Amino acid sequence: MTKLTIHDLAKIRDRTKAMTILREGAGRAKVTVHMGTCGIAAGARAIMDELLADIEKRGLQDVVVTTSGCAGLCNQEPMVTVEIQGRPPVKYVRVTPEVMKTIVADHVVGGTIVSAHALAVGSETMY
Amino acid sequence: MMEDLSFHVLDLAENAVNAGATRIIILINENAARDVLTIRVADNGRGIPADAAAKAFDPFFTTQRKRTGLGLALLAQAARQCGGEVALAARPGGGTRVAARFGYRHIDRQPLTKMTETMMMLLLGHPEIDFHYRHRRNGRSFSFVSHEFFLRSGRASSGTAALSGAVRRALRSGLRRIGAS
Repeated sequence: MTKLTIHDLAKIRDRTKAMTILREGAGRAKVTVHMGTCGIAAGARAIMDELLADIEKRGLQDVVVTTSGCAGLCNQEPMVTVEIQGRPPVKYVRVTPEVMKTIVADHVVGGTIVSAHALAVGSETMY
Repeated sequence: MMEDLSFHVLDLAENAVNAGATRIIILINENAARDVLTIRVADNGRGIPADAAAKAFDPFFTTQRKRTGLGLALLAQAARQCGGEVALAARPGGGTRVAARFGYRHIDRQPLTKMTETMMMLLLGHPEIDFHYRHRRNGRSFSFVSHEFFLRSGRASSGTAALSGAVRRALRSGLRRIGAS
């Protein structure tokens, strides 16, 4: 086996840093966009795009963005789950890009649940 | 029906993610001269058992805990309606390869569009997976290897916003260079 050099270690550190930012970040908030075939067909990509664009615009460095599969509520897609550290996750249903914008402003940044679009508070289950 | 072909790229790649892949190769080739557009997605995930592969295009067959499996059925429909076809090659434990061919100039071929958004979603949604994306368009070509990119940009990025912006700029400029979006 070849020996790891300092240069190799630096490479690993840099790559891991990018992944840590995206996976754990400073971890203040985590937003999950549901991305089964149902979510994709219902417009999840536009939701994700709005979410990332808002994060870039607002310079939010401590928000983790991730995707998940079908949660079994295909008729409620697009769905988004927001978790603020130390609080239970909130699931939003039938999200539009406009609603996503409001969720980022009020919930991710402001900490207030957008109750008009929230389905439930609590962890994800599958039937 | 998906609105455009890039949705199918997203759907195929998400299948690969769900199959436990650590490396996903996405190849797109738009060739107007040969009147063909191909989308190929290959992964090193767990593959598909032979009995499941035979039923993979059935809209009411799925290996997941739900009632329908529409992804491949919709893709086959999109390909057939413009004179193309879809081939699935999978070995249990040996990864999966899907190749879809479309008639480039066929009036019923859906547009590809929005590959930037599609790749953003995959790259930022699954940073632990090494995505190899190569897009050829009428002789010009753009490549993006996610872990190589993260290696370079990770050093400079302070957080999600910075990294997301860097990925978006790289994809936009690369795709614009070959005349795609």
